[in-house]
Amino acid sequence: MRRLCALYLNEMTKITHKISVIIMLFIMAALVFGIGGLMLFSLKMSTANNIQNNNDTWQTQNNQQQLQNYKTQLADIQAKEKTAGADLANLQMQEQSLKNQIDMFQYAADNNINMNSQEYRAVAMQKLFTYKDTVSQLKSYPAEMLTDKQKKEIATDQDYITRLQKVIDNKDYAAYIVISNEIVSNNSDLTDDQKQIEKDMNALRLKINPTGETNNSIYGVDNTEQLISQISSNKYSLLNNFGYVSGSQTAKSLTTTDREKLSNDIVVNTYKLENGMVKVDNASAIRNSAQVTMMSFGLIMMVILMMILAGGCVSSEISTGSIKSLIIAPVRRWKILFAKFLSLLTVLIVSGLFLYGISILAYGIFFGFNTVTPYVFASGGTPHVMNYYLFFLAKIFVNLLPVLFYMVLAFMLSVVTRNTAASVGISIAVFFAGSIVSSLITAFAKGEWVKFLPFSNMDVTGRVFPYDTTLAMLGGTTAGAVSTTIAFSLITIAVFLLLMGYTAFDSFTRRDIS
Amino acid sequence: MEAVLKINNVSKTFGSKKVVSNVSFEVYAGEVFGFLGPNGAGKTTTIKMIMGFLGIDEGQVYINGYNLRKNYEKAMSDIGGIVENPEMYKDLSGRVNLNMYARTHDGVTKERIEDVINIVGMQNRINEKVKKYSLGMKQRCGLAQAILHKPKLLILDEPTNGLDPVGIRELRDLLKKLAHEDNIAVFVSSHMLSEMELMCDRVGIINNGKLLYVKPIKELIEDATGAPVHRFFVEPATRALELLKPNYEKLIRAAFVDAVDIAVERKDVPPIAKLLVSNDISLYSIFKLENSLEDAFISITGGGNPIA
Repeated sequence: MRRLCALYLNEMTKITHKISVIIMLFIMAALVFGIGGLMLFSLKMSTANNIQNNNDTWQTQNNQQQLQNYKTQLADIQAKEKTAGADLANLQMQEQSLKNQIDMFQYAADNNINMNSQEYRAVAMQKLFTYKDTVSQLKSYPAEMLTDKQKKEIATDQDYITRLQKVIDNKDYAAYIVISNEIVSNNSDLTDDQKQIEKDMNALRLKINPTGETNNSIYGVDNTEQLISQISSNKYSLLNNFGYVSGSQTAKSLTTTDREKLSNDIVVNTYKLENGMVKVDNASAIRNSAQVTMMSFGLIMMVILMMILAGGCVSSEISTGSIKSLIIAPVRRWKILFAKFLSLLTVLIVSGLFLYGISILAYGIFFGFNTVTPYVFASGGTPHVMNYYLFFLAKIFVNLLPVLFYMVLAFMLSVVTRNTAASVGISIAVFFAGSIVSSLITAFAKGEWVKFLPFSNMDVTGRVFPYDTTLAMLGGTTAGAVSTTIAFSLITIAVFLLLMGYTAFDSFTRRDIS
Repeated sequence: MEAVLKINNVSKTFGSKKVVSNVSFEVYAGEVFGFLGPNGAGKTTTIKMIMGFLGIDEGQVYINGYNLRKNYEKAMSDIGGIVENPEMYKDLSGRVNLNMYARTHDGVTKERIEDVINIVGMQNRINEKVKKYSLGMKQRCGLAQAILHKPKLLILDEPTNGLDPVGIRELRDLLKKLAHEDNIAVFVSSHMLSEMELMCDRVGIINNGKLLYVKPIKELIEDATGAPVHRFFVEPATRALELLKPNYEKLIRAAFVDAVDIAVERKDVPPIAKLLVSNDISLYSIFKLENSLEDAFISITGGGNPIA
């Protein structure tokens, strides 16, 4: 044990004196800061262009344009009516409908409502004019021809019209929600359960946004409605016991795990909504992609560093002859190799921490330390919040698993081939071509065996952190094609690691060194 | 005297070629043992087996009483040495190399490291990177490593390679001192006989993987400088050997398939010839070998095909 420690210390001494390690870590830092800087630059550029204002102007112009179009169409129809014979009634109906549209757009322009937005006043107005349409159509018939039901409909619709008018005039979101709920209650197409879901969604809308105001330009959307529709679609899936589960291409009957996943998704989305984590503006999109890109490039540098170190750990000592001073030491061979492996593992962890440090630092310097958002996940129906810095650390460490795999591959090749160039070359080739080859195999080969390939199991991060929207992919991209559980993937990778490790140790302890 | 290194019937095969076959010898504390042989004789292979580089196909190696196979770590902790060229980590300084080596061995103090640096005369350049060293400096540094942990057995493979005459002389004195004063068993391989003559107490001569001859250096020199060696080409040689053994056993230097070497004065040659001829042995020629140590070496290792 004491000698193993001594060998380990010696290996660390050797590695810390290697100039390649320092160069690679320097390149890693330079890349991370460079990417951060570039991203900040692009953020500054996009803000400077003031796309948002242009967009608003464009939308207003668009509304005006539509209004103008309707007016032209109306003039056309009015002209036709003068010469029309049998289809006069039809034309008159079109005229009435167009007039309603024109009224609506005119009203929108007067009240500064963007018709193309999802703002509640726009929606309320569309509803308002739909009711007006219905009412005017019903009223166009002689009064004695109307059934009681239709008479009742006119009464309720007129009630809605007045109330919606008030909602728009007073900007009263709460009243709008009340009306929405009533409309849901009166909808005979929905079952009671479905009505309940819709009402719950409305309650959620009011709860997270009491005033109903939204920022709706394309470059500054919040994704409240998107999250709410996700929640409601999940609830419908749970209700019908049939639907899409994230990652699946087709709708299917739900298993217990699927149900659990869908409920957890609901919990996470609800938590995000209630805590205002819904902003998706230009800046946050750039920040997220900066963070992912920094980490991904850092990890690629790390893979290359580890492959260079592991790929030369035994072969370079044999080719320079320095292995002699190791063999002469009074320790069994496996201890020599084990010390080397431990030292590589140390470098892996230390460079992981280094990447963590510089990523956090670069992100903080360029985008501010206060712009980070925590990771929200759910288990058993309760939401949990993970501190961002802890989450990022965990994420980097989960991403070290593929790095470890390629490191052990290079390590084994170094021992078996005793040729540094071959071991580094082969492992880099496997790293870059592995996922592509694996995708090809997945596309053409039929059979269960594909899921036993290491590359099919390399993307662990996406499954450890299913609620992370900013995933860095270092492993394969075939996770979607071959669906396996996380435990299966971990076991498969562990088996491969053990096999490679066994090969390395067996070869090193038994073969002559001449 | 206790045997620090005991080699018992050791063989090594590479592919189909038996590079070392059934070699047995012992090296005792307090002596310098020379392992002599031409290039490719199996010297380095034997040394590499002792030092754990190569697996031992047959036979046993005991170091300080520990079986190398069964008690590897204990056996190895008493060995120090250099195999072929001394190789160190070139990007590190001599001192760091020594420190690293010291870590893997028990009981090496800071003072000991300083002492050893002084013993090999490296105090001025110990902090330089090894890649700046000349071959001679590397040899010194390697020697420092080899003796750092006060091994009971010091194995040096061609230690004078790359040393200047002064260095060779210093090394020779150091090895003698280590053996005779510190009671270390020193095992030195070389193909240079003149060097061995000045350094060794005992020599073993190996050729084609077989150990031919283990004797004190004094006897080897006596063999070489005493009565001249005459080579009798006879047939059959085995019967000739039997005939000669009663009277001339101590004088027989070597026996071959077709010849026997005997160290005798000029006047003793006719009686031997008479003895052989009168016993129906065909005597083809009698040849007087040159009377030098080099020739003794060559005659032992290279003359004809040895049968014993």
